[in-house]
Amino acid sequence: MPTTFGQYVPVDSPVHALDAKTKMGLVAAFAVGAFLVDRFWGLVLVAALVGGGILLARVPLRIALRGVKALSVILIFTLAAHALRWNPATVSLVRIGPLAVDAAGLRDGVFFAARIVLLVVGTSLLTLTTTPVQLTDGLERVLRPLTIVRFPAGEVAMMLTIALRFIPTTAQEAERVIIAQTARGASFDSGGPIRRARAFVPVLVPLFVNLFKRAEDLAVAMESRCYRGGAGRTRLNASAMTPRDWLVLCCGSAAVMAIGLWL
Amino acid sequence: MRLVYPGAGRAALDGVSLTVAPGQAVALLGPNGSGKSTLARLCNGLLLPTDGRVTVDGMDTRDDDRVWDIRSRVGYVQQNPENQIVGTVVEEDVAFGPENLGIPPAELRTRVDDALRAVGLSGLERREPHLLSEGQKQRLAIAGALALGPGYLLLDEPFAMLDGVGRDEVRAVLEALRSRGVGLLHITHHLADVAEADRAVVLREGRVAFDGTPDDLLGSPEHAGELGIDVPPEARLTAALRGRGFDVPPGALDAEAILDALWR
Amino acid sequence: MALIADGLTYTYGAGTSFSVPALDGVRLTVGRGELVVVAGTTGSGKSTLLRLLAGVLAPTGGSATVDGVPTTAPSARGRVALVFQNPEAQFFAETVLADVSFGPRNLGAGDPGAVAREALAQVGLDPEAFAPRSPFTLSGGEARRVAIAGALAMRAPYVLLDEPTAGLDRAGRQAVLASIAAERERAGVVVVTHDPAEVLAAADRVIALARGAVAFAGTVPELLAGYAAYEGAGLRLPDVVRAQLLAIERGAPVKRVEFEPERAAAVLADARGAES
Repeated sequence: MPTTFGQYVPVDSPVHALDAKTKMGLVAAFAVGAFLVDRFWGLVLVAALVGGGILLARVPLRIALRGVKALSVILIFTLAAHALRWNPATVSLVRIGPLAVDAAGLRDGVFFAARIVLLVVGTSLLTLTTTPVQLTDGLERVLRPLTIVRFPAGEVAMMLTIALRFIPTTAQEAERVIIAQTARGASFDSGGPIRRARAFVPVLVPLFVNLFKRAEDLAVAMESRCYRGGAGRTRLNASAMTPRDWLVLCCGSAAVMAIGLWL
Repeated sequence: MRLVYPGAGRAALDGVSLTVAPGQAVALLGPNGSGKSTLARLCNGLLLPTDGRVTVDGMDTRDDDRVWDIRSRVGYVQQNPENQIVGTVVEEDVAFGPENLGIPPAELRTRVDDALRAVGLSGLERREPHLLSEGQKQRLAIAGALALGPGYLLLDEPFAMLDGVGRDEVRAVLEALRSRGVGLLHITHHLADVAEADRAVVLREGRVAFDGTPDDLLGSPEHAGELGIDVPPEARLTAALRGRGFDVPPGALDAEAILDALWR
Repeated sequence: MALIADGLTYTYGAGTSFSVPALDGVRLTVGRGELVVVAGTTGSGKSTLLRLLAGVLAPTGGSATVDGVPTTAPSARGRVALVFQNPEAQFFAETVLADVSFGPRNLGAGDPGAVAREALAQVGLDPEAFAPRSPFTLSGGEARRVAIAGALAMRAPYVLLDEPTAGLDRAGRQAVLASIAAERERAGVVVVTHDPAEVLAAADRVIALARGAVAFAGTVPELLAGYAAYEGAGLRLPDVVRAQLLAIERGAPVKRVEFEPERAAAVLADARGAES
């Protein structure tokens, strides 16, 4: 049985070993760098970086590219928007009725589509190599400077942690309620959309009622265990940036920014 | 831990006095709605008495400055372990309490390791809570309370969601804690759960209806039944045997003990 | 005409690298008017068996049939009612009547309201008093009985109950046991539990599951005659009963075995008296 949900790929790799904050910084720099690239050579270098990252992270290519499928509509739209012309004066490639494909436009379309693919695959490496817990912890640390303007960084991170904690519990409970109502003759897959949505009332009502009960118990449990907000809390697994993290963060960011600025 | 709570009018609790000493196990019995859970929440300051006072090692629960000291002295374990687990992995859940107190990370590690060892969950530090058995979940909840270094534990029907195996696991942990000097207030409606307690207090409609030993209750199942608590059928068997002139002690609840007494 | 499991097998994630066998070759027959107790500890396969018998899960091997039809077949719909553990956690309607009549309405019963009232009366709750109440404001014992009425209202020829008395106080348990006894007059009943002490005496047959397989199957007298396999499944007979069995093993002249404590006392007292 899979022990983690979501996208995380549980293997050991140098990328997995990096601190979540390092990877967040790298992803931010990568996103900016990749957006600034406007030449094919730059894109090739970015692609090489992403490919190297996938290899280093020991993430199967199939899983790393999973996110691209969801983008197919956007990619086709990008290609079409750049390459197709309506009744142009000159036709450089193919003409179908009033529609024509323009060579320069096609090149632009491919360039932008490729950039989107690289951006998505590159940033997804963060969630593929970092557990949700590490992500929340990293996020708390990154957001901590905002506490100066009264942003509740600790509380937001605690909410995310609790949400993560209760996703499997809620999923198990939803399954139980669905089976129980099915056993009482409920059916969830017949009729039109409105009828189907209404069929879920007997599932959603108990699910929410039970979640509220859980929330009540949880509040009592947290208060009993001395929770009083984020201030003054320490962490068992407080992640710290090692010199290696800083080195990777600085060199990596500098490299992607350089590609973005010059190519 | 001392509790004096003379309430007035139609209170959830009315004039209840109760003391739990270190290393002592006190059973708090009573039917549903008798005020047991209210009493538990008064003991660690989640609720404050409208009249009377609750003190923990001399600290009054109404003293705002001591509330965190009191909550770390008095651990609270609820009926459904699933609902009181905060962390996404075992060790982070155990660390939750001491993290709130601002304990430095190095000491957090020792506290977590000690608490997990005390409940027999060492080796499962990185396990996700939803993959534990019910007995393991309840032991995790106890470890979460232990990591605060409590002198007392409030146990609100800790066996309710467990089967025989889980019960035995949790019972062994509680027995070990008691011998280490932790005072236990064990809430239940079933007398069989608390037959080995030092003292039994029965609540009925917010008042103390009985205060004595579990053996006193086991010895007169009729009376215990009238108080609205569950009496093990074995206690009814031994009571009937005593009625027929055999000297079978009320504490004999398993077949071997009953027969040994009968054929002595 | 029966609910039958024949070589029933179920493997979670069958065919994948993480397949987990949950049930292996289980045989079971429940006729109408019979009470079959399935006992087992957590992880013994009880819940899987229940889901297969109810037809919400399809077997990976063997068969589960109700009156000759596979339990998963569309024509088996409404023939097996299932009461989950803590069934009151599935309340959703504004009134007790609406919740209890959910099942019969789904099955197209002629007058769901009338059937629901009948089911409420069967679990010992006054239909007039309880029908208009909100199911979310009931006491523990009342809520459990309303939830059970929700399944009984389907008027299925077979009813499965998972830990029906768990978490109830004595009064609540006795009310639920009485409802089960009443249902058995009309239907075949399967009670699945880790602690069968209170239903054992009334059972026609007892089946003990251990790690997905049948460790013991037989009538109650058969169980009393040889309970080693039953205890090997991590189960324990009530100590009131064990005391009498142990007395027999120690050579005491015990004439019959009683489940009820006061009668058991008489049996043991007679045996002790006859000996001295």
